Amino acid sequence: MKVLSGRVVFDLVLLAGAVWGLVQARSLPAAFGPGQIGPGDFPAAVMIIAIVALLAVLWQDLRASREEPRAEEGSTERVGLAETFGVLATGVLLAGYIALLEPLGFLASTVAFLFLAVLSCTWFLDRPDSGAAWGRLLLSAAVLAVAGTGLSYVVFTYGFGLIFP
Amino acid sequence: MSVLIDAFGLIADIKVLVAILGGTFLGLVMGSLPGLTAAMAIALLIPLTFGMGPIMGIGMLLGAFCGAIAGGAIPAILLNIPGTPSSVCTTLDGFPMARKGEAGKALGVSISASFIGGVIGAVLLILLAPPIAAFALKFGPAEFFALGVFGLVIIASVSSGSMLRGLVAGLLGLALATVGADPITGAMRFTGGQPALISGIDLLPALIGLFAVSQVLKDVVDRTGADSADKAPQNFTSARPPWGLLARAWRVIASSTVIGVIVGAIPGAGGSISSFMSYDQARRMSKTPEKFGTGHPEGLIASESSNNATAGGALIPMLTLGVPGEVATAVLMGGLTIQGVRPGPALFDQQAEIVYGIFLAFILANLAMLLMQLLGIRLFVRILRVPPRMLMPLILMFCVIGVYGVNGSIFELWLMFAFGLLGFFLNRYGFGTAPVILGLILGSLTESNLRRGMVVFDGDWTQFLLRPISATLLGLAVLFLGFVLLQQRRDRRRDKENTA
Amino acid sequence: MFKTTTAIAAVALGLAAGPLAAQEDFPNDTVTIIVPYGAGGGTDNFVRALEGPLEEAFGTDVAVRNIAGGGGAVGLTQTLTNEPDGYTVTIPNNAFYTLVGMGNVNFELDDFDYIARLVTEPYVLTLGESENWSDLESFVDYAEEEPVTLGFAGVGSSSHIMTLAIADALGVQVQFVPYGGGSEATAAALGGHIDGVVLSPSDVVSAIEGEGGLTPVASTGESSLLPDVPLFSDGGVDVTADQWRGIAAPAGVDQAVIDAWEAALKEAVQDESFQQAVDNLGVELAPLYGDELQQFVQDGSDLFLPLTESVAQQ
Repeated sequence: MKVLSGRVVFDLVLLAGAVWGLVQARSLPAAFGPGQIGPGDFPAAVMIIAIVALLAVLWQDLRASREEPRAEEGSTERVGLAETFGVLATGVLLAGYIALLEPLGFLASTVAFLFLAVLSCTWFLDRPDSGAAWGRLLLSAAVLAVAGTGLSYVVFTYGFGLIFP
Repeated sequence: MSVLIDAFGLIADIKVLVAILGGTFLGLVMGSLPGLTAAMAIALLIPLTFGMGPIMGIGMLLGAFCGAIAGGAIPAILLNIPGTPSSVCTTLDGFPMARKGEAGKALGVSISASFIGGVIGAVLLILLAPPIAAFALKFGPAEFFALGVFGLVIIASVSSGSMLRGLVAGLLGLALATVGADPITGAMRFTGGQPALISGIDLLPALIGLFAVSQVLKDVVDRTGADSADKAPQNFTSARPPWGLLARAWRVIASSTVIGVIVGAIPGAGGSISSFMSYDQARRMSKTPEKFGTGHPEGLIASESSNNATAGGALIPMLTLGVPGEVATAVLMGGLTIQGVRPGPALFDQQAEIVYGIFLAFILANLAMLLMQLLGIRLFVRILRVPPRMLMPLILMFCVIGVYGVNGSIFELWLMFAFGLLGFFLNRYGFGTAPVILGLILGSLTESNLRRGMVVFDGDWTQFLLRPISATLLGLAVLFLGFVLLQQRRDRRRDKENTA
Repeated sequence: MFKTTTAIAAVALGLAAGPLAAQEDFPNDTVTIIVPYGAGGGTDNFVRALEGPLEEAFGTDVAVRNIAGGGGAVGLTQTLTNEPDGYTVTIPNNAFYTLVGMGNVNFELDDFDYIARLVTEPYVLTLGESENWSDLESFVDYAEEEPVTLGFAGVGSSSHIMTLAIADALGVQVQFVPYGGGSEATAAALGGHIDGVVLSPSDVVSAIEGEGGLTPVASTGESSLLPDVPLFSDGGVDVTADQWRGIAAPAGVDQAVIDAWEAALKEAVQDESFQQAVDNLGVELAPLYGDELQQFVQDGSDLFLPLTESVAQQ
């Protein structure tokens, strides 16, 4: 019996966020006068309702995972290792792109991102089996990266007057 | 009448027509890219209008306005990524239709519903602008608060699965809406010392993160290891505008356009709410409410006819009072001002031909939008044939360009990233992301007006219940909430009977 | 072959002469103006109108970059990360004082060199229709006894501070009602939800036309949009601060570069299309440079900082 499914962990994360929010909201300055609503009151009310609702959700999820542990195993919820790596790789690539956008400049960072992301997506989504196919893919990824970057740079900079780093 | 002829004279100039067409085209392109909104499309075109005559520049900006709102539906339907905030609702039924192989039909429905909504909006603008503007001005703190509460009830009907989970997502949006300087006292709330958060969480990075980035991550999971050929084949023959379907849905169109125009006309309410409200109303009127959210054309019609009618509605307070209703019209008004055209009552009296020229240009822009999109359907659908390994990196690149392009802030890109992860898990565990956006939009409207009302009414909260419009809205909110709960109970009982 | 050599030589020369040339023949590269607000707003439109004439005056490219967020805080903070070489500048206005006064930013006013003031715009006390008042005098008579509600654009904004200053100077009882922006506040006054607003002329000019419109009763300065509105100072009330827009750079700019900026701006403001745009935007062309400008900035700081700090402490 696995109680700590990803679902439950996420519920707990949200719950922790709501509790933190409530504590923060309580520490905000009070309202000006009697009968007025202060800065912390609305957020506090939202957080309290959210905590109650999340406890109900948590209860549902715990019960569900206890009652039908097997049904969950077979459902779409099960994520294989490959999928996890796929999401991680995509996330890391996007984070890297954002982090390097200003240091490297728009052109270099975008070319690198597109090239690597196409390769990464190819690896996870439809991996070819032969070495020759990989060669073609490398070429197409490079073409897409350069063309995509160049075209969007020209359109956005000269067409729309946006300024990139 | 002679004013109308003068206005025709202004419009019937090849340069003006080209400007309207060009503006509409650029609006469509920008609206369909995630991250570039209608306001951004207009703002980017303003410098281009500097050298033009007034009506030519205005035509171009109006075209961009119409085009961007309609263009937002294309990625919403094809990729489940709303191009602009007002097309969030379009994803609810548009994307399921595309998944069923009806992408062409969905686009046809959406485009023609947009056109009808836009034109009816324009007609209402021309005929009823002064009374609608007078009604819109009746909205004070109490009325806005009630409108916000009324809107929050919609969370129940846009929750994809469990209503409890939808509520959690909505509350998450409300909580996020309180980030930033307090609207009344200026106290900092949850900003962690970040200057970028002083003015709150911007809608755009949240929208792009929750919908576009999370959708790409979801696709990576769904498609990993899966055979890429298992998609439903797209049916291309049905790309013609389905006028028959639209005619049968006339009640949905009527209610959606009226809601769109009125909500659009209320300064400060914001156009993104109107499509949610119309969607909710269409669902309530429907004999088959359970079909909404599964690829039901009526849901698509409600959303698209409403958000394009909103454009006409938003022009009402701007033109008649000189008070723009939301961001896009505020930017548009800036563009008009720089052309030396100052909207307001005096414009109607002194330069009526310009006002009528604006009306005509607006209708023409809608027509241009219809024609361009109908011609483009086959091209749009081809996006689905781009292999995902190429499409997904490109989508992410446009997300980054869009979010960075608007405010030039790296911080907002990180915000987008965080919202992407959040949205991924919210979708994965059945909470949904549409309620978060709704909460984020309505949160500040509701709270700031509650607080403002307490100041204006000097602490007398009964004012919120006693004023006619606000009492009506609050009463309807309670009524509709009861209706939804009752319906859910009935559905659950039916499910139990079926399984028994 | 020859071309490549000269190109290399030119680059080498350019590198060697870099620091010196940066001061003497300023500018020889693109000048960037950071607009700390979103595209399409009043400040952005003003800068876009200035862009062309300034390019002509400088003979180089001028790029406008919008870095919005935090009511200007993000763009201004970003400006300060640049070298004080005059190639990156931003648009100073009263928000400089209010941001510092609210304690939301970690820069000070003298972290910037103020190069010019170009346009100004007064604040106008504009009232809704009421039987209780028709002009400033009757309004003051009424509001000394009964509290009135005045709206403005955002808590801690310069219009908020001016509402405070005006209420103080008139000695009236005011409930302060912050709105999200100028147009929201104007709509609320038109709908009779609040008694009046303190905003710039361009925010209210349309709302005073037509039946049941608003009445502008007093202004902090002359406005071409509202030529018949009396000044506060005419009635012996000392409120004269105007909103303004100019050019400022991170502190430490060489005097030669500042002189080059002044010369270019003096030429650019003569441009006909710029003057037309300024006129259409409803602001007043009021250039100010050098010592007078420093005094103007100091006056603004003396007025706004203490009032803003009092708001922040509430």
